[in-house]
Amino acid sequence: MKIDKQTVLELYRTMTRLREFEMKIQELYRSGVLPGFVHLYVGEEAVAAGVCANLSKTDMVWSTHRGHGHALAKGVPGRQVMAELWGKATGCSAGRGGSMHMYAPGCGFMGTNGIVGSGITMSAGGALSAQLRKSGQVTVCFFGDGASNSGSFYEGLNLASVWNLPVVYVCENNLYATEMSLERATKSLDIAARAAIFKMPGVTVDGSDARRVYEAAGEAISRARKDGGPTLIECKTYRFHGHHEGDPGTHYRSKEEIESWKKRDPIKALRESSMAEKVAGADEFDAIDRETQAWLEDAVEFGRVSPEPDPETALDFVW
Amino acid sequence: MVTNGKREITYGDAGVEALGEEMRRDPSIVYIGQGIGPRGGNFRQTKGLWAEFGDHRLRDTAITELGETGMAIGAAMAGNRAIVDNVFLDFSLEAMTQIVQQAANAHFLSNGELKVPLMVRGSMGSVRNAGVQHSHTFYAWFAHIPGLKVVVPATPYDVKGLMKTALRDDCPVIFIEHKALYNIKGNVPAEEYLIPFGKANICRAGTTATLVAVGRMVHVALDAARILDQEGISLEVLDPRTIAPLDREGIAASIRKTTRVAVVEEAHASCGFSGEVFSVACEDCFDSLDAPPKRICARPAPNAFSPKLENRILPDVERVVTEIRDWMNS
Amino acid sequence: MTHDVVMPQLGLTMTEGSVSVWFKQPGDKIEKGEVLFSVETDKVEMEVEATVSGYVAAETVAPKQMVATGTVIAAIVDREDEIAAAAAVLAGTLRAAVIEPTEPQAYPATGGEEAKETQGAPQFSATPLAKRMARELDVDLHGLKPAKGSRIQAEDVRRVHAAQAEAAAPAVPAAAVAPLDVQLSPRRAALAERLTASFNQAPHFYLGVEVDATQLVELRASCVAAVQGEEARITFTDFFLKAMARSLSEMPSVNTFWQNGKILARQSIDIGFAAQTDQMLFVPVIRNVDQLTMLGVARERIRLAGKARAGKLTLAEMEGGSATLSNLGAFAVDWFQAILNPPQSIIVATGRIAKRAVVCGDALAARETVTISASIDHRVLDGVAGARFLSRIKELLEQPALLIL
Repeated sequence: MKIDKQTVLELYRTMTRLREFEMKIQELYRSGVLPGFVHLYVGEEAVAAGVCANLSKTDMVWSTHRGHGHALAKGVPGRQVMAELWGKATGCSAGRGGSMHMYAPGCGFMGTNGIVGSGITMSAGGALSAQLRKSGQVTVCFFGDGASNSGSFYEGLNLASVWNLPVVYVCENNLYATEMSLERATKSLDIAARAAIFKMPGVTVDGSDARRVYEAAGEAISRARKDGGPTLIECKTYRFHGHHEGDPGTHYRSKEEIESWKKRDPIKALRESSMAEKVAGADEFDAIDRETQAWLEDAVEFGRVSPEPDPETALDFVW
Repeated sequence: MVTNGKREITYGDAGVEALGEEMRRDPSIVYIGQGIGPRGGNFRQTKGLWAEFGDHRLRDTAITELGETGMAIGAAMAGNRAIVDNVFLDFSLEAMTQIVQQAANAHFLSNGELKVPLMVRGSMGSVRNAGVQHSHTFYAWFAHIPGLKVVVPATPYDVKGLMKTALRDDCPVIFIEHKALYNIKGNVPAEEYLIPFGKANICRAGTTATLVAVGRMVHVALDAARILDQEGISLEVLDPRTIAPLDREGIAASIRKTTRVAVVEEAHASCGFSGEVFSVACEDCFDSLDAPPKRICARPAPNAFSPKLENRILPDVERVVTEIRDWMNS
Repeated sequence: MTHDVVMPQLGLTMTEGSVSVWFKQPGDKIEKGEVLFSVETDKVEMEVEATVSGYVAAETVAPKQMVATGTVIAAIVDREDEIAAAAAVLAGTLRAAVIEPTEPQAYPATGGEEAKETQGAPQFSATPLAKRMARELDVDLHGLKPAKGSRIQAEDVRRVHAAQAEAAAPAVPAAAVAPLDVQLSPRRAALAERLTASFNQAPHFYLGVEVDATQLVELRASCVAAVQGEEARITFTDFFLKAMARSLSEMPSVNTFWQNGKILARQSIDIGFAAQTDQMLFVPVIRNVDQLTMLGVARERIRLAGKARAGKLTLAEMEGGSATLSNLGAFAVDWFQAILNPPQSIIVATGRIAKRAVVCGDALAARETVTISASIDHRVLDGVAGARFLSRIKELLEQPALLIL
C-alpha cells in the first residue's frame, strides 16, 4: 500500500511532537516543577502516530500509564496535556488526574490509566455502546506486553470477539513489563498469535515503522467500522528510557540492546526512508521540526502561566 | 395480587417492574450479566425481560465478572446506561478494581465531562446456608469509596422506588439486594414513584432507642422491636436505605429523640457501617447520647455452613432482643 | 492505746452518713456503752455507743458533715495523757478521709469552665446527654449515684433536678427576701430522691372506689369499747390494713413488686403505713398483718409509730412489703392519690369517713362513706388485677365482720 506524502508528513509531525514533548517533560520533571511521576513514551512514537492517524475525532481511545503520546496523537491539545502534567486548572482533567489519569472525552480520549489492562474490558464496553447506538465509532485500546498476561486481556478479548465488537487492540510490546522481560514472564512470546484463541485476526508489525503501523491499524479499524469485529495488533517496539522517569532502565536491559533499538529510531527511520524514496525533502521535515518547537514552547508557556486549581473545587464532581 | 386495596408483589418482582419501566423509558439501557437473558436470572431478577427486550439489550455473558463489569463501565462512559449484574455480590470482588479504580473515578478525573450511568447489581447475605463464598455482606466496602452510591433495599416498595432512581442517576450505583428477601411480598403501588437517595425510612417510630438496620436486618429489628415493646422498650427502627449517600441528619434526628442508638447488621462490625452510624452519633449528636452506642453485628468469623454454626454467627431476633434488653438495663 | 471510732454501716444500702450530735466532747471521759454520738442516715437516726472506755481524744467531723461509712471520725484513748498525741495523729489521717473524694476520677470534662467549677469529681461517669442536661439544669453531678448501671444517665439528672426544684420552691417569693437555704437533711434528700425515682420510673395507674362505711363505723365503735382497758386504741387504719392483708393473702399474684427488670413475689403479708412525724414521713412495715388480730395490728402500729416519732426506727422496720396504706382520714381530705413507695407495687390512699348523700334504691340517703384509691405499678399489675384487689377491699370494709372472723 502506497502511503501518500501528506500522510507521511503527518506521521512525522505527530511523532516529532510526541518525542519533543516527552523530552521537555523529562527536563521539567528533573528540574522539579512537575509533581507526581511520569512514564515517557520515547521510542514508541510510531505506534500512537500510526494508529491514531486512522481515527476520527469521535472514535475512542483507551490508553495506558505511558499515555502522553496516545493523548497527543488522538488530538488532545498539547497545551492541555502539558497543563495537566503541571497539575494546573487548564489541564485536560483540570489537574485532577495527572499523567496516568488524563481524560478528554471531547477528543475521544477515554483516559490514560494507572491500572494495567483495565482499558481492555472498558474499550470493549465502549465498542458495545457504539454497536448498540449504531454510531459507527471504533474504539482502540492500547496496552503493553505486561497487560497481555493479565486476566483482563482474556476476558476483554473474549467478550469483544463473541459480540463482534468494533474494537482494535493495540499491544505495544516493548519487551519489558516494568523490569520484567517478556521472555521471563511467559512462554507465549507471540502475543498476536493469541488472537487465534478468540477467533479474531492477529497481526504483528514493526512498531518502529510508522508506515507499517499505519497500514495495519488502518486495515483493522476499517474492518471494525464495517462490522467486521475486533483485531489484535502486536507492535514490536521499545522504550528508549527507563520504565518511569528516574529508572535508568539499564539494570535489566543491556546497553547493546538499547543502542540497537535506538539505531531503529522510528522518527529518524521515517525521515530517512522517505527522503531516500523521495517522498519528501529535508526542508519539509526541517520545517516540521521548527513548527514543532514553536508548538512545544507555546504548550510549555501555557502550562507555566496557567493558574493552579482552586482548592475549593477539590470535592467537585465526586457525585 | 391486590389485598385491601393495596397491590402486593414480591421484592424480586418489584425489581423486574423497575427494570421494565426504565428500559422502556430509556432505550440507552443495556443489561449485562450472567443468566439474565432467557433464563430470567438466577433469582428470577430479570424474569420476562428478555422476551421483551431481546439479546440486543439483555446481554448474557460468560462467567467473566471482571470483563462484564469493565465492559459495562466502558459502555456507560461511551454513552449508554449500563447495568451489570454480578448476581452474587460475592462475585463483584472479581471486578472490584474496575468498580473502584475506574467507575468511581472517571467523572471526577474528567473534571465532570464523563458521566458513568452504571448500576452494578448483586445480591448479598445469607440464605439457606449457602456457605461463606455466596453469603457475604459487603456493602460497606463500596460505601468507603467516594464516587459510588450504595443502595440496600429492605422491602419491595423500596426496591422499585430506589432502582428507578438508580437508573436515572449519572453516577455508578451499587444496588445490593438481599437474596433472602426476593420472595417477600409487600405493597407496591401501581403508579410510578421514585425514592430519593439519602433519605432514611423510619420503619417504626419509637422513643426509647434507635435501631439502625438495612436489608434483611430491618425485618429482624422490627420483630425484635415488637417483642421489646411489650416490656416497655419502645424502639425506633430506622432504615437508611442508601448507605451512600447516608442520611446522617435523619439518623441524628432519631438519636436526638431517643438518646440511644444501636446498629443491627448482617455484616461484620470491624471497620464497618455500624461504626459509620456511631460516627453520626458521636460527631453530630454527641450531647444527646444517654448510653454508649451498641452494635449487634455478625460475629467475627466467616459464615459457616452448618445452620447451627451460621446461626451462632449471624444476628437473629432472639439475640437482638437479649442484647438490647441488657443494654437498656446497663 | 488509741481506739478508732468510725462512721458505722447501719444497713445494707447505707454508704454515707453524718453525725447529728456529739454527746461527748474531746477530752471527756467516756464509759463503754455510753452514747458518743448519733448518726443520721438517709433512712434513720441512730445513737452510737462507745465500745471501749477511755477519753475522747478527738472528733473530726462537724455535725451534718457527710462522710462515707467506715471513715474514722473520732478516737478514744485509754489514758488522759494520750489525748494530745492521738489527736495530732487523727488530725492528719482524718483530713485524708473526709468526705470529698481526693482522687479525681476519670471524668472527661466537656463543659469547659463549668466543669472546672464543680468540686472534686463524681464517682460515676456521666453520659453525654446527662452532662449536657446537668449543665443546662445546673445540676451538680458530683457524688450522684445512678439509679441503674454504672453511668449517670439523663433520668438521674432529671431526678436530682426535680428534687432540687422541689427544695428550691419556697412559698416566699424569691424577689421579696433573700432565699432561705434550708438545710436538706439526708433523710429528706433520700425521700425526695426515692419518690422522684418512683414517680419517674414506675408507671402509676390509679383506681378508686367509694365504700359504704356504715357497718365499719359501728363495728369499730364496738371494738374500741370492747378493749377499753387496753392502751391500744383501734382505729380505722387498722381495719384498712386488715382489709388489705386479707385481699393480698387471697391474691398472691398481687403481693408482688418490681425490681431490676423482674417481678418478685413476697412470701409474707407485710404492709407499710405512712407515719408522719414533726420532721419527716416514715413508712414502717407491719409484719404478717394477715396473722394478727385487729388488736394485734393496732398494737404493732402504735409501737412503730412511737419509734418513728422518736427517730428510733431501724432499717429492718422500714423494709419489705409490697403495699402501703396512707390514711389522711384524720384531716379534711375526702380522697387523694399517693405515690408508690418503691419498690412496692401498691399504695392505698384513704380519705376521711363522713356522712354523704348516697343513692339507696331510688332515694337519697345520708350514709357514712369513704373513698379509697389505689396507685399501682403497671409494670407489675394490670387494671383488672388492681380492680379485683380494690373491689375485695371494698367488699370487706362494707361487711367488716368478715375481718374479725
